[in-house]
Amino acid sequence: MNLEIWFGTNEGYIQAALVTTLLAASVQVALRSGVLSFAGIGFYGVGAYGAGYLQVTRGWSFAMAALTVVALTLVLAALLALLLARLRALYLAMATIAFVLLVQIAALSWDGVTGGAIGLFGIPPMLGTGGVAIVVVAALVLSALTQRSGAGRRQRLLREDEVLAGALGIDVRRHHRIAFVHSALLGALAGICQADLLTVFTPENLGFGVIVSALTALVVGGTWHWAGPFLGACIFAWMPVWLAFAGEWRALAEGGLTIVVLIFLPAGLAGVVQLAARRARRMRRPEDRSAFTSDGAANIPSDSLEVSR
Amino acid sequence: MTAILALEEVKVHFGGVKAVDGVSLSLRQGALHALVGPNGSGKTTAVNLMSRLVDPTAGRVLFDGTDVTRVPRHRLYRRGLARTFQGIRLLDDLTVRENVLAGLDALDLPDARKASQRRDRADAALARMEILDTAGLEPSALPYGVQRRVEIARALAGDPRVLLLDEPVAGMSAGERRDIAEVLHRLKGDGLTMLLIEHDLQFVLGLADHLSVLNFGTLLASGEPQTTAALPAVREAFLGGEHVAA
Repeated sequence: MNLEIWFGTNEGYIQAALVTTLLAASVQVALRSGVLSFAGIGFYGVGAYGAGYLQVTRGWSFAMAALTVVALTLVLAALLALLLARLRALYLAMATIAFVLLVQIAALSWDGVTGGAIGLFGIPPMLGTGGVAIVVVAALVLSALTQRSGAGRRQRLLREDEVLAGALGIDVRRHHRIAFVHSALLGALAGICQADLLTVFTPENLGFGVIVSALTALVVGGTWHWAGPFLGACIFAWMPVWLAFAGEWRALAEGGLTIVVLIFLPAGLAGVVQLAARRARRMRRPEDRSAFTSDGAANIPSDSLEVSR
Repeated sequence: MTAILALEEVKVHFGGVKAVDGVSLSLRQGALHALVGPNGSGKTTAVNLMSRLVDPTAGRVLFDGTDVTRVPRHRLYRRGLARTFQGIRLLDDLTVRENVLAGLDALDLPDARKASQRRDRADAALARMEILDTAGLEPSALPYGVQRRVEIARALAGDPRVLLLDEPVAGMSAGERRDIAEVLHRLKGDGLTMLLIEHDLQFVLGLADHLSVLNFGTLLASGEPQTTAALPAVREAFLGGEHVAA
């Protein structure tokens, strides 16, 4: 098929995949540091309504509106991170879900800014699919670089062993706050992009369903790998097409497929690649093990092991 | 000699349980100080106090003459207080070298700002433990005793001034214990100040410069290792009253 024709017929799915990638990445970036936060989904609403309102009602340029929304997000997220600093795991997840629902209620009630139940219309499309793709690629590149660097190791320590992280000089609370704000920023960017692509944003675009979509895309794509959000977002963007034959059973088929992936590929699709790399690493240099005796002691000359008493 | 790390009349009470009760200890610079005691005597709580994993109910912790009782634990590490834990705490999906690099990530070392310099430093720590050839392997592929040496290498990578070792030979084979003893002996020769937590009195006698004995959260005795170990109160704590009498 001609690429142009394919793009034309699939642009809606591409746009959905791009925005979902950012939303899933917003959940991932917090989770990687051991922070179970869905606040990014709330800031998705802040980003969409904020950028839309400033352009439609105030007549601001896209760049000014986007920068202002990003700055506002950073401040609000930092304050929210301080407010929720004592909450961990499921308690933090519940608090951030409540935040998402509050944003949705505000969207419904604050008619002057959000357009109420009808929503905000006439948002000028400035980025387009190409512009949003650049934002997504930048976010993924940053995520990939982080995963492979010392920052990635720090995140792993924070996620797997906070006590050890602290004992190795990592300021756990500060890094949790940074992860929270980073997550919010990605959510706000998703909102700015979504409003730009749809040119309209309503309270129906927000809420618990968005949390489920982002989380499912992340888990199926690969929770810890930088490519996970993109893979999962693509799968769920095109799944309605692939499962069209299922008719009214499609939702059930989607759910079933998700369960199958969760059971047999708990690290998600991208996790399969990571697992293969680990296995290859384990197979490498088996001769190194000969450096140890059967009881696990090092096979070094005994005359160098004398301990003076 | 100067005390680089000290506990002053510290108490750690968990409700009615007195895990540590009025203990004072001081570590001389460059010495290997052993802290021994039967299970549940408060040894690990004491090391957790020093590394700021637990807050004291009363008393002070001094590091290099400064009161660090309320200093966050990550700052203590950056000031040069490293520790290992009783259980192995390595990340299995990282290589041995990456695990050691994790000990450098939070430090701003003038001679280790570039990735290549950090890698060299991590490799030097592994070489110091004589396990450089395991750098590319995953910890789970290694024997327990070697994993323990990886942990010590990680603690040493940042060039600490004090190293706290919480039962480094617990659960080890005779050969592994011999290896760790050799490692500690070598580190002592390098002038590193160490606190060795151990419940096996015999293991520490040949290594330590100073011995302190804890029992039921209080300091039973402290002094030259052989003399301290021979005290009736210490023998009773370790062997029980009947054995001492016999």
